[in-house]
Amino acid sequence: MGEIVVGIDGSEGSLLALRWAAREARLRGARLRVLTAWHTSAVSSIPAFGVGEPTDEVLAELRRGLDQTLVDEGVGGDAGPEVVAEVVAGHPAGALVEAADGADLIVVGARGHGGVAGLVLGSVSQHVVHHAPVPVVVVPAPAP
Amino acid sequence: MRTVLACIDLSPASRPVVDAAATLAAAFGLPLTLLHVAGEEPELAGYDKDAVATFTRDDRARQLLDEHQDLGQRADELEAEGLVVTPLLVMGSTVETILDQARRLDAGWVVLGSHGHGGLHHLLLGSVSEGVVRGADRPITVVPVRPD
Repeated sequence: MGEIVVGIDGSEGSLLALRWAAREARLRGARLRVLTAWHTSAVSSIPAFGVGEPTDEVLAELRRGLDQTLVDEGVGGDAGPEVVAEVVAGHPAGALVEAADGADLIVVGARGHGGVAGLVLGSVSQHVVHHAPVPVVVVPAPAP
Repeated sequence: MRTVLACIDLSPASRPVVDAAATLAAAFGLPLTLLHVAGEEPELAGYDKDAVATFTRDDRARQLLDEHQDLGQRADELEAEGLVVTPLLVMGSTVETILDQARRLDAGWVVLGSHGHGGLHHLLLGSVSEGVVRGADRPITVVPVRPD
C-alpha cells in the first residue's frame, strides 16, 4: 500500500496541504500519514526556556490539536483514506524528510510551516523540497 | 486538469522527472507534455562584428535543432510505452515560461527536478524549482534529483 506524508502545524497553508493530500490519498488508495512535529521553537524561541525534552502536557496538547484538526477537516472518516496521525519530535523539516523515507509523496503547504511572516516560501517547505528522498508536492496558497 | 507537465532540461538529471511524470500520466490517464525551456537568444552587446554575430546565431540554431530532436525522441519513446505525449520547446526565461505553460495547458500536475544540472550547480541550487514553487497557482511536484 502506498503512503502519502503530510506535515501540518495548524496554519492555513498546512490545512490546504492536508486537504490536497487527503484527496490524493483517496484517489490513489494510499495511506495518509499526518505529522505534527514538536521542536523547541514551537514552545519558545528563547533557548533557556525552550531547550529540553517536551513535557507530557506539551505532547498531549499537540496531540489534541492534531486530532481536532483531522476531525474539523473530515479526514479519517469512513469514506476517506486510512489515516495515521503522529506527533514527532524534532524540527518539522527534518522530521518530515525522515518520515518520508519509503513514502510515495510528501505534501507541504507553500507557506505557513513555522516560516517567518512575509517569506513567500516557508522555510520548512524549502528545506523539504531540497532534501526529501521522494517527490514533494508544494500546495500554493490561493491567490488573494 | 488536462495534462501532466514535465519540465526537463534534457540532461541525465531529467530522467527521474520524466519517470515520475510518466507514472502520474499513466495512473491518471492524462496526456503528458514534455516541456524544455531553451535559453533566450544571447545578447551580443559589445560585439558589432557581423562575423561574430553570425557565428553565434548559427551555433545557437544548431543547438536548438539538437534540443528539438532530443525532445522529440524522448516523446517517441514514451509514446511507445502507450502514453499520449506532446513535446514542447519554448524559448524564454525558465521560471516564467514554466508558469505560463502550466496555466495555458491547465496542467493538473507540474513536475520538475529539485536541482538542475551544469557546472554552476552549486550557485544555481534549486533556483528554478524554487522560483516555480514561489510563483505557482497550482500544486507543484518537485522530484529529488541528486548531484552526481
